[in-house]
Amino acid sequence: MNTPSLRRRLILGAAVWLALGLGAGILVLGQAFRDAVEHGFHERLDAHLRALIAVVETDATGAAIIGRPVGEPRFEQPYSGWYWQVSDGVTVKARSRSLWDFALPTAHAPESGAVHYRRDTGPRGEALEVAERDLILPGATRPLHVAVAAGRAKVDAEVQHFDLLLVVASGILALGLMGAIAIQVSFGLRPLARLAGALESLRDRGGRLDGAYPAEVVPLVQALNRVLDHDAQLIETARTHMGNLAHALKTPLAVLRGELGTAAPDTTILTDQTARLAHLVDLHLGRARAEAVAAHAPGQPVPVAEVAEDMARALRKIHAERGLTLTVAAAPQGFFRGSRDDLSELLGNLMDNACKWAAREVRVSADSRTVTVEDDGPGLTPEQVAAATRRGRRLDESAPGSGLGLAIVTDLAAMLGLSLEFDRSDVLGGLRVRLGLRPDTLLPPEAGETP
Amino acid sequence: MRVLVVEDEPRLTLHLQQALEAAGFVVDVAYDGEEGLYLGETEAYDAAVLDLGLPKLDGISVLGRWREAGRGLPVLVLTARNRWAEKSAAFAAGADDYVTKPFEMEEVVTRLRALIRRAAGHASPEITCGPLRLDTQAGRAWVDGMPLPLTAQEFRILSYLAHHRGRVVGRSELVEHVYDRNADPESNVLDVLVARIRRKLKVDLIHTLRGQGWRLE
Repeated sequence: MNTPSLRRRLILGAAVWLALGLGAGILVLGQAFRDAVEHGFHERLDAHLRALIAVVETDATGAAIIGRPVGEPRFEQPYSGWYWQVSDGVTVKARSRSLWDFALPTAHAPESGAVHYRRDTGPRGEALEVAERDLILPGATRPLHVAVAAGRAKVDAEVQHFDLLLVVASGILALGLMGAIAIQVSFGLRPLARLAGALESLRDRGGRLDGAYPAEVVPLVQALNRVLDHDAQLIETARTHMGNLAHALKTPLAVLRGELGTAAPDTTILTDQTARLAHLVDLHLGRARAEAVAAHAPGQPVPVAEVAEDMARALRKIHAERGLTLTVAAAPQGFFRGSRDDLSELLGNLMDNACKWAAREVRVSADSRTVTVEDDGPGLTPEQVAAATRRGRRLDESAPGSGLGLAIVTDLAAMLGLSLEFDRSDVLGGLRVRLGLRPDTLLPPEAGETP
Repeated sequence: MRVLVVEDEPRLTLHLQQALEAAGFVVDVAYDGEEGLYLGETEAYDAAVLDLGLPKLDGISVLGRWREAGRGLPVLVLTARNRWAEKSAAFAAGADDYVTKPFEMEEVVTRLRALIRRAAGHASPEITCGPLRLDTQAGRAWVDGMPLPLTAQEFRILSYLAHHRGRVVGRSELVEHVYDRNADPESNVLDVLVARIRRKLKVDLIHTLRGQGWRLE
């Protein structure tokens, strides 16, 4: 299963951060501008409010006399958008000419002395910003509300304009940055593409990966080269075995051909030679496999008890006719450091051989260091042991110790560096074979023997 | 006895069929896994010879599905692979015996006969019933020591009844096990054959149960 593309991940990651960053920037800058603009606007309103307050006086009776504030010609133009108004909360005492006959609503009891800003609607229905405050004149019974208002339209437009500018600029910046990132990512990932290309071309040529690669990729290249070397070795070994087999098959094939060419082919010869062909195939195949497999590093340790039971289940069925008792007593701590396939081959052949020659009983036992297979059959004489464990077997399956089984076990055990011993079983009286589970395990001495 | 052979190599299948028929079996043949699976599930066989390397559906899967479907027929597995790990896998899937290629036809015949005999509960190659003695390996029968001259079909019937001696064998069951798929025997052919066997036996061993079948004891 493939995880998402590196390129996509890097670019997507950058895009997310870019979006977050630019988004935050737009928000912050937009808000800052808005605040600045509002602040400036309020300052202007505040100035006009103060000018208005300056022209509010009381006369001798305590009534208010309100002059006309100067400084803003638009106060005189009807519906200009700039207005001022002085009221006592009930009636409008004075208003700007621009306000005409419209009355600005007053807010509920603004705090005395402080300027209060709020939004409202003007005589034309336009949005207004109103600055107002209470004024308590000496001798007056009720406070006066003074207010100055100005249209918001221009201010709002400025803010919108700036926001748009921000967004467009950010967009362009984002595109530019994404483009740069994409180029950078491509550039950064190029060594990987080069590596893939180099591997691809190896398919035709064979060999190893050479060339310079950046430091991060070098360990990968080295590991790949180790695998390539190993594969090359395996191929070479397989070729050798194939060559050996082809060579060995030529003689029986020649004999067959010759015999078939005669007028009355001798079926004994035909049978013999085909048997020989089959035997040679098994022998060389077995050897090739043993060597190829022994070259692999061991994986998970294999539980011996499990494999012995698997073999026992199969063998009980295979030898069902004989009515044998096949017992497996393997300690759970027995583990084989190698492939399950190899252990199956070793145990299968040993146990099958035992079943073939047993009279009634076969016993398999294992501890953490050895597997023992013993039977109550005729056993093997030392000469027979030597013959059985020599490489290159005879055809005769009828004599004990011949046949391929023990030869395969000998070859495979030698390949894996495991010790293999044949002697007589003191419990059952037949053959006893002891196989070391770990390379160079010295088999424990017999009771009473000196080590 | 009726046997199913599932093997994709045509010449090998032909040789197997010929050898098995010569040994007195009735043989049905399938050339791929799917056909083999179907036949094994739907027809009655005394045993099957199953190649592991089959097109459409591999032998181990066929075997597994047969066992899952409750088909307990003894299965002899054929394969070129003779690694013990693979043999063990075949047995774990439900095989009863294993023959590696190349093999002798005799070996297949002998092993099949033994499998069928053991599946019917007979530990020894010889089945006896009173004066009748049947050698399942040799394919011959004797009464009181005198050899019985039976035709192949008669022997098949007697052998099936002997394998299942003491139990009633229905008419359709007997037909299924002594004729191949394509045969369509007349309804009274079996009666005629059983009568002939009775005459040759001379001893009253085959009991007819009206409407149910026959029983040898």
